[in-house]
Amino acid sequence: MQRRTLLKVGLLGSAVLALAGGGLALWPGDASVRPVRPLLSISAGHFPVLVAVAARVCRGTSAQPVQVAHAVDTALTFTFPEARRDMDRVLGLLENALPGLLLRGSPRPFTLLDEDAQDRALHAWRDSSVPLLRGAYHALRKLCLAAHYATPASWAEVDYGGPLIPKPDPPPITATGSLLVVVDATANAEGMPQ
Amino acid sequence: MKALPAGVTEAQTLAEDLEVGCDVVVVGSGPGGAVTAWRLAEAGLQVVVVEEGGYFTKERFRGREDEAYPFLYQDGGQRTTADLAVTIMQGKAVGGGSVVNWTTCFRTPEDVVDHWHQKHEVKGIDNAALRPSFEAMEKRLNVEKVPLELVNKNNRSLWDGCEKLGIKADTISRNVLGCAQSGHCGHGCPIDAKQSMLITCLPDAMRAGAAVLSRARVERLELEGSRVVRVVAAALDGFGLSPTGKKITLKPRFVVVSGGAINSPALLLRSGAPDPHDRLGRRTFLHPVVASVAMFAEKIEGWRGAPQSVASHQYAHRGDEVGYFLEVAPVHPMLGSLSMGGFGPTHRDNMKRIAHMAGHIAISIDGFHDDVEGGTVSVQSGSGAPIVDYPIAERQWRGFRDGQKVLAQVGFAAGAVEVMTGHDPALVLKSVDDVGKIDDMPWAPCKVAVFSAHQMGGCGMSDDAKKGVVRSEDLRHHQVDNLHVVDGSTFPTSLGVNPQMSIYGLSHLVAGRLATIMKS
Repeated sequence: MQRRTLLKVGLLGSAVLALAGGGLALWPGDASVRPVRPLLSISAGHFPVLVAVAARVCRGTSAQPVQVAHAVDTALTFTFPEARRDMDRVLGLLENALPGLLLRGSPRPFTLLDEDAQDRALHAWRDSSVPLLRGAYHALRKLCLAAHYATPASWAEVDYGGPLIPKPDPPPITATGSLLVVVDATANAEGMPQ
Repeated sequence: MKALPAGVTEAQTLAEDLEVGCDVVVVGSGPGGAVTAWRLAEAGLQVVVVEEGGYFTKERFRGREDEAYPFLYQDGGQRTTADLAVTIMQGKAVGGGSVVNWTTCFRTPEDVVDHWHQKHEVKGIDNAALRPSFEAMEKRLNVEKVPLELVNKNNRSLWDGCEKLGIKADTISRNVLGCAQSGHCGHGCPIDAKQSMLITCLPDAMRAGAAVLSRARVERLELEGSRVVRVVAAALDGFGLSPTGKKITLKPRFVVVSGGAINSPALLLRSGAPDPHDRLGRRTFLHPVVASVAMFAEKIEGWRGAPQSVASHQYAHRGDEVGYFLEVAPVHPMLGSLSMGGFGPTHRDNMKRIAHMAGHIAISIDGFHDDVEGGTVSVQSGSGAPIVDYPIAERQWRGFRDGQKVLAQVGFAAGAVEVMTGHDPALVLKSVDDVGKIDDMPWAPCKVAVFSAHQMGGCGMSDDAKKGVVRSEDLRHHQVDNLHVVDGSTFPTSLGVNPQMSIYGLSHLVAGRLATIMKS
């Protein structure tokens, strides 16, 4: 019984995600927001959608939506290819006219909605009877929140003083270099150079 | 074909393909793999440990969530069930999950081991055999009970609430030495106080001659007949994102798979390991967690101090209902932000109060009822990455609901001025009189946040080949003669306690037996 239920959800999920692939040409969205550096995971056409979502999720914080979107794009590189593809499709699903019409009653792309309507669109996914849409809402929400609150930029806003044991910046990670950090022999017990 | 030198070789630095011969390849360097490698190397066997994660040491453990989760957790901290309903936190580094766990140590409850014996045909492992291994590992890892005066406010709120309600609670034991109470256990210990595999059993193994190959992703085991003849891995770049193009081929006499629940069954599935009774990947357990945010007038600062130091097992045994146990979760900004529903100003306003927040959790015990048989691991047809399907039974939803109610009562008893459930939108309770409202909340996938920090099963042990993937005495694969699985994936059920010590104890016991087998 449980397996059948899951299969049903999976098939419906596939059908819903397939919708994301169509309908884009019916009503182009706002493509004026552009990435400021090369994208690693999501398609360029969906970057403005992610920026718009980040703006709603992080509204009222110091977060810069374009930076949040880039951080989410980078975070997705740590997942596997199918997950990256699905998140890109989710952004398409939110933006494209046909799924918009079917899932929330409006063909207007997410990036062209006013702010209140964007919130309603996200809430429609949150409250959807389709588990996949609820999951997609939380995935987008959490990715944006994590992108902001994981960084020192958020710490003062939440009265967090930062790590208890400050450490110097380690050498950057590179593609073929060792991760080992050569410790400065003159460093004190806390690892800070004297 | 050559032998790898003792010590760590970082595969991202390889300039050419690598072919290695040895006695034993251990896939994975977490609690199962590290203990096994140590015991086998000390027995004189030539051991190579292959680990996908990076060789991160304390100089890179800076207590920052934006550095820890991408580099020290599976999928950069984004592992989930296929339906996105359960967030799965699972470590990935040299030292495995022990590098990022919250240092909680419980031995396997004896009634659980007895249950395995009675219900899952586990005849080769029993409490008497495990006891000396637990003692040895506790000594090696300096496991000691936390004195109440060292409990931080986050944990103290659980203690106080339980005490006022007459719920039995106790302080827990931790594997630390010289802990500075920084609260950064989940980010890699910045001062090597945590006695993780990174600084204990792996160095022990290397001193005994073992080689550790980091940033090497094992793609498959190659089988001929009933034996593994090759282990094929790809060197990854320093970020752990992409293959460098350098291929690694290992030709051992024996293979020990210790990738942990989820990754171990996924590797065997990718390898086409025999599975005549469709057991591989089945009965994967997550100890699913629901969280309750308790807001206090005073500052809690749940980011400081030992993340976990108090637990209650009062509700672990509930007969026909699913049991759960109570602990707390640390409240760092990112982790805290994900524990609360909503977005925009509502979420921001809650985040501004995060210093006043305690994170109480109810951890559900799966695998002990016929309709709570856990999830299933399969693999993506393209990348081969694991897929975790975890259908949540109605009985489990009732357990989540009951646990959430107890957590709310505990929060108010401890003095909270407000308690929030993990729903989106959250149910905000203003007094204990509101707790009944939890019954009216939706309990369904992605309606309420569910997490997992404990993964078990998927290569379950049973001496009946129709019930398990490996037999119990030496955790040998039922159909592959030189393949053993030594990690938490072999548990036939979940545990009802945090799993690290169970993995250490089981691995210590079995590795001792393997040393005899492999040397003969």
